[in-house]
Amino acid sequence: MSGQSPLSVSDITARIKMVLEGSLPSLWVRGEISQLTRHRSGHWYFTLIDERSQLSCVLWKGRASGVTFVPETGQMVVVQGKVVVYERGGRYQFDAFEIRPEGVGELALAFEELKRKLTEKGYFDLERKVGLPRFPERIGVVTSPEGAALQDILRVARERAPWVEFRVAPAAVQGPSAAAEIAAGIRLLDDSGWPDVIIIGRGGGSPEDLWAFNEEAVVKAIDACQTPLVSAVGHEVDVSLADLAADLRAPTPSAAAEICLPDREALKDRLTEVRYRLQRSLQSEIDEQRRWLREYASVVLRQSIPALWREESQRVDELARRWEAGIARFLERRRFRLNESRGRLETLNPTNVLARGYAIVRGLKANEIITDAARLKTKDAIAITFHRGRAEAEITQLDETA
Amino acid sequence: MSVESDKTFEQAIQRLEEIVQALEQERPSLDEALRLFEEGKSLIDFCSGKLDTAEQKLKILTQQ
Repeated sequence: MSGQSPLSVSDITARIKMVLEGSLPSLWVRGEISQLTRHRSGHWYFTLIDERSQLSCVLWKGRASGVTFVPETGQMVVVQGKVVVYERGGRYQFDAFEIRPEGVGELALAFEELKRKLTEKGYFDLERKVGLPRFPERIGVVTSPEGAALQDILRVARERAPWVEFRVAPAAVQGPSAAAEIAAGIRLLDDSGWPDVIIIGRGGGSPEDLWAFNEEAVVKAIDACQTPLVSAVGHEVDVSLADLAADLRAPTPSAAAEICLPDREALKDRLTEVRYRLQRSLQSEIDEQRRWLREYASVVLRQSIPALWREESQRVDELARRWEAGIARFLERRRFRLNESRGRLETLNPTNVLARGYAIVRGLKANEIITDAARLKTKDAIAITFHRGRAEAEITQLDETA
Repeated sequence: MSVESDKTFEQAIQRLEEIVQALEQERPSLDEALRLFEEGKSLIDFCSGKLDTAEQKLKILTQQ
């Protein structure tokens, strides 16, 4: 030993504290979040790491409540604070009073610039947006086939509307090729004409992760898309340019499915209601017709039939009368003619003629009636029929010319 | 009246709404009412059939 008496633990610790805290002012530290605990007290405890070291940090609740983003494990952040030595625990810690995602400044600037440029091109105009169909049966999705977004959408669909079919155009949702793949996926689905609605999206992430959905290629593809398109990128707070260009923005992929798809139970209720209303309408129509029929029948029976009967009766009487009158006249005419004929007949009756002095002469030989004297010779025998009686005679003299 | 098999759900619901409207607000003859009722029933059955599908259909397209 070199003559220095040993220091106590407290002494050496106090010195360390003085040296560290004295020589390190408030400064910014950049690192990757390796664990984060948001304690129920409201304080945040996390560890920042890089390739070789780690640093324990705490963000007291007063400052933590002002932080707007949600730091995630693996995220690069910058933290402003001071080194503090805790003597009791014999360790040092970084007391943070500011935490920000790394590079947020540059990204935010780029976002605003892109937004301004694409707004001018009209991609976000309200007039370009179309309405969604009420009852889509075919949904196209542009997303990562392994991602949680697709699973969320399918899960909601299974519960709400299992009859709906899905086609997925696979695309990376982050990284350098993502924007091109997403745009290609949109074109592929739209050109096929198959879907009634297209959903594009992905789960939550950092602004860098979500950046593909801000790219012009994607915005252009959304604008050119004829099929109604819903954008569901990240969480509620993440607004991407794809969201602005889409016909509808959903806060999450599950919400997109809920918005697009009708609910099976609600539809079943609706159909039951429609069935009931149809039946009720028909029933009331039938009741109406029955009522009308009854009323009509009763009116007819009570009033019209007797009236009709009276009317018809009258007509029958009238006809009968005319018929009788006609018969009588007919008979009268007949009688008259009959009398006329009888009269004429009477005059032609030979016995009446005889009464006037004429006689019928017959030749005795053949008993034929003689009308011509030439038929006779003197000495012929004839029979004469008078009005009363007859005589036989012999011709004494003939005059053929008289 | 039968429903064509390629009628979409959307069209079926639309037609159902028209039928309900016609039966409730216009005053069709009994013949017409019966005809509309039959068509409505047929459409309801078609829609119910769709709703009762249990299996979800999914297809992952191949990339270009």
